[in-house]
Amino acid sequence: MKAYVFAVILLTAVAATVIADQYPVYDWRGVALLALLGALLGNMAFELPVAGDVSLGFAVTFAAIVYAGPVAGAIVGAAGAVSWGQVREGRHPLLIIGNAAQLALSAMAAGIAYLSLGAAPLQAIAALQRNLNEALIAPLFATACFFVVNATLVTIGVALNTGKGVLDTLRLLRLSSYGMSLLVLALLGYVLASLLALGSWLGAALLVLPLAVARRTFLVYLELSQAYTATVRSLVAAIEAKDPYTRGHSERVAAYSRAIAERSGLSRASVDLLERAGLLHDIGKIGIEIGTLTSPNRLSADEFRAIRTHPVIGSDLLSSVEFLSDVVAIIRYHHERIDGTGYPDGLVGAHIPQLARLLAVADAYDAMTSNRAYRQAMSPNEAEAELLRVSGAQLDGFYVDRLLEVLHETPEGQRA
Amino acid sequence: MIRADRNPAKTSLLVPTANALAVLVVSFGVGGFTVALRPELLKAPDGFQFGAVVLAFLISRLLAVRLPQGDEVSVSVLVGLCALAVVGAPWAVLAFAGAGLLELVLRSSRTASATRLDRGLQVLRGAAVLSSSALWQLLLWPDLQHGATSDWLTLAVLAAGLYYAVSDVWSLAVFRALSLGARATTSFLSFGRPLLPIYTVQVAMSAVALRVFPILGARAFLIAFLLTAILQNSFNLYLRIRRAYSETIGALARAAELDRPEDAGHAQRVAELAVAVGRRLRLSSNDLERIGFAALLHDIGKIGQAGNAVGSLHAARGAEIVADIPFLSEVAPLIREHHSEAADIPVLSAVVGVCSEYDRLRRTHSPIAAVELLRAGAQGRRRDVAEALAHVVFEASESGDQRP
Repeated sequence: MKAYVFAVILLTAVAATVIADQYPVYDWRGVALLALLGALLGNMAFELPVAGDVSLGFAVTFAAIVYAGPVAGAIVGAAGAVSWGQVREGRHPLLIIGNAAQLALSAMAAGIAYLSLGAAPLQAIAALQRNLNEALIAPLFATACFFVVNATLVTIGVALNTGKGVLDTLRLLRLSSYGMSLLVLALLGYVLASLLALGSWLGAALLVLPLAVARRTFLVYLELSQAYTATVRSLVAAIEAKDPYTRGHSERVAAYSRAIAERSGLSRASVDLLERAGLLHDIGKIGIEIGTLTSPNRLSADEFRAIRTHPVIGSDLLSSVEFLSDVVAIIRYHHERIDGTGYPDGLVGAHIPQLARLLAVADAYDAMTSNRAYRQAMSPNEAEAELLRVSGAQLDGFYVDRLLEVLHETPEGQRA
Repeated sequence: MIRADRNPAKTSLLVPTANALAVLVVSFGVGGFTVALRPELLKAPDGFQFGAVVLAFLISRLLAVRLPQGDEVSVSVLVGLCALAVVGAPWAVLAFAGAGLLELVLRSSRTASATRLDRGLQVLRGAAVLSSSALWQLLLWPDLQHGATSDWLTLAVLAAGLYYAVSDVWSLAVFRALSLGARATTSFLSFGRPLLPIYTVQVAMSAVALRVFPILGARAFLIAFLLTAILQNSFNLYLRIRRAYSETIGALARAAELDRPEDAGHAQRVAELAVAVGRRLRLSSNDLERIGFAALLHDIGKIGQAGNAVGSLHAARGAEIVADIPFLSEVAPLIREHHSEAADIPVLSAVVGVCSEYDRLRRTHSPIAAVELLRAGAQGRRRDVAEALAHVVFEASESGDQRP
């Protein structure tokens, strides 16, 4: 790993010296300012929905590339990596310099790409007060080059560091959303460069304003998102506390569902959805007489009927919350069975929504391994055997297998 | 959904209609006046340019923002300002109207006629605002036709943007008063506050776009539009989760009531009433939000205690549950104290407590009797709150409103 970082730094130094003569910088003041801005923004990253992971530093780097060429881009890119924030975090100096190097290298590549298509740095254009005629192809090409070089260098670095394979690292880094965000930031940088070329400080300040607003909105959004799940969790826990046998059940079902979903390679949105569904799937039980819920004896036909209403009650309760519309379907059908003998609607096999089938597995497992009023908890082995027994008939075999994989992975093989 | 600006006492529609008409007349008048002074504005623009402007307005309208109180508002400041500069006021207004009609047609298959009328009014309103912004053309045309070539012109664009934004929100408030009977001034704030970030972004981006137009040409608008759309989309998601938060708490509060059938709907009613009373007491919107949540969750401590004589233990228990939730930490004290009879109880807690008691009394008494009983038994702060409650209740019953 250290060798790799050294190699990158060396490569960058060599490349810089090679191209320094070919691409001179005319406006050092502008570049210095961009470098300062880059250092201030640092690697301030946040995730915008649709636009993906946003690292504001790139916008400034790209502005430097478009404004004054590859060398300027390299300088500003490196400056962004050596921000005060990074130093304060206590990152190893070698890593910081290595990061700076790979960003500089990527910027150089992008800069050369930009100019190779015949575009001229905006610092020159401004003097001509001329309207540009070429399409946006040069900036797009430059961004693509940046992305390729940057992604390659980072992937190799992370793979070496974590010991994972290249393909695994690629998936981990979520490069597609990163690429999207680079495009957006490139546009931003392009406008910033134009403003610099025109000498408009007011313009540059005005450009920063929407970014500040976006960042603030995003941070509140993030806080609220986390608060949302935490709030649901707390309230459900409070609601469940009345029945000592189900206390913590929803929390565990949510955790199992999450694990199964991740194991099945579902999208992050689906994973979050299942977690919410897990937390809320039994709230319909509130209305059921506590006597029925905690009865140690066999239930009468009436009591059975009462219990079977809980998926519908739960889904009806939440149907007014637009945000939870997908959760509602999962809750309604979480007691359906593959062979059609489930409730409330007796759906068969693939007619049962996929995520409801997943939740059913998690729900069943936790029910088996918890103490109930009418029986003791099964041991994990007994529970697994039971899962396999009903796999395909009551529960979806695919998700049963995933759950078993998860259970065998964790040390105790028990509660996740 | 708890609307903070709904006025339970519907005033007659005469004043709001007059206001709305006045806005329309004045705005279009200003526009006409501008054109009269500068007839060169009537020169037809390039067909392609005009088409692009219409398309931009259409997309802008489709990117509407859904506010917490349920309204859908589309903000077209960015496109409007750029259109004013590039194709001139009369054509910008025409493009806006055209886009609005196109949108109506596109959406007409699945909307009720009332909504269509509402949407049509919004198009009219938007066109009026754009028309009144033509005032700026007097100052800046034809300078802006080639973009903002100096920072001074950029400042002028900012000023125009500020004017556009304020008049847009104001006209929104005036027109809302027509359909909701809400007071225009309250609506202005309830629209303005959540929309402020969007207007800020759009005004700033218009200034930027016009500033780089000389060097980047039409691409400047394209980029500005794209960036704004992305930011607005994120903002929409933020608003969505805000709404989700309130709605989910409401649903869970309802869930908690399931084992006490006599309390069904109690939390929601108390919440709506408490917010109305809080408004009457001129509390801040932060306080109103806190009261809303506190009211929804004030009986959460009763969960699982069905049938037991609970006394005021549930208040402490409820507060405990809520105190664990970081986002709602300021709501916990309100729940803890809502049954307190002390004279110096904080007003927020008093509002929740009094409204809750009112709802309970309403099970066996008429509104008037319930209010009298409340007044009689209350001291200090609770008495002030009871007075406010009386006003809210009687205003509602005077206007023929069914609840409370």
